Amino acid sequence: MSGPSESTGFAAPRPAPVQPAAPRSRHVTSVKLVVAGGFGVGKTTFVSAVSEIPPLTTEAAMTSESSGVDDSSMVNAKVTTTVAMDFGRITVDDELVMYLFGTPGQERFAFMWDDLCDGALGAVVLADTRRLADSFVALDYFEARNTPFVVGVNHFTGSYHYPIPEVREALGVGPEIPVVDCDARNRESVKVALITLLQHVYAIRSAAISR
Amino acid sequence: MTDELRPRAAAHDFVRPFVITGGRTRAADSSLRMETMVQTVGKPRDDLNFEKARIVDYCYEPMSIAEIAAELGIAIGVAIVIVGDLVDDGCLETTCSDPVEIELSALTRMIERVRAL
Repeated sequence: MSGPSESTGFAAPRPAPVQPAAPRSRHVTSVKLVVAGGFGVGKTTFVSAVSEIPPLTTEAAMTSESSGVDDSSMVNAKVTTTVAMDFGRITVDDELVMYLFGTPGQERFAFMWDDLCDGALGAVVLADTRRLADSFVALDYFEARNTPFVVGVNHFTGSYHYPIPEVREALGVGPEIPVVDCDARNRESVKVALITLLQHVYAIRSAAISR
Repeated sequence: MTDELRPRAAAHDFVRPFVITGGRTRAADSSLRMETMVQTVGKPRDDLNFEKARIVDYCYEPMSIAEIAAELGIAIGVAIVIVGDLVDDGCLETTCSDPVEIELSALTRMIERVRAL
């Protein structure tokens, strides 16, 4: 149903307005990369480190599909709940743009991940060595969906620096999954994580092609 | 923090997000996603409602649906529904991006771009 503010007048002369005077339409393709991990692990910081725009925040409003996710005693809170998501942009060239989306941190928003991850080229799962278990949800999710991912181990100041093999073992990820150190505040470090992901996707693709 | 729930003010300050879509939470075209690129096509029109007119104005350069949502301050699901309507109206064109169609050469370009950041 269209609202009253919509034009209801003229029986739209259909083909006419669609014809030319069209602005030069460029074909720009986009790819989506997802940055996941537990709450407060540095996802937004990661996105800001490489985004050409300050990360934008957008909201995904909870619709009825989320019924049952929230405690039903909080009915009022439910209708007013929105989940904030941050994203950034890297323009590759005239025809290609990359978007980096941070997943909402809390586990109870996992219902949103399908929308977020549908069509994703790949994901970076950030893990905090002080709370490794927080990244399990994300690892399970991408493994189950066969979404290519790499793990970025975010070392926080003052936290013991675990060697990568130890972290890999603690996370229970197979040898085929790249695991790299990643300081989300450091642009070079974030670049390494992203490049590792893109190379990982590349390797999977080229293996599939040559098969 | 952005990860957190944003509690809204009192109930009367809150507008249900899908009011402007007439309650629809899904676009007819289910291929629209937050990263789908959108561009304005066709002649300028003066018969569009406020949100639609803003989207048409905003997309003379290709924009993603997520950017539209952020620009207009609306939820992504709402932006998807309105963009779907505007495509039906002949005002917008979208470029769908299926990751399986991304070629190796595009991946190489991405890697080089990130390296050059």
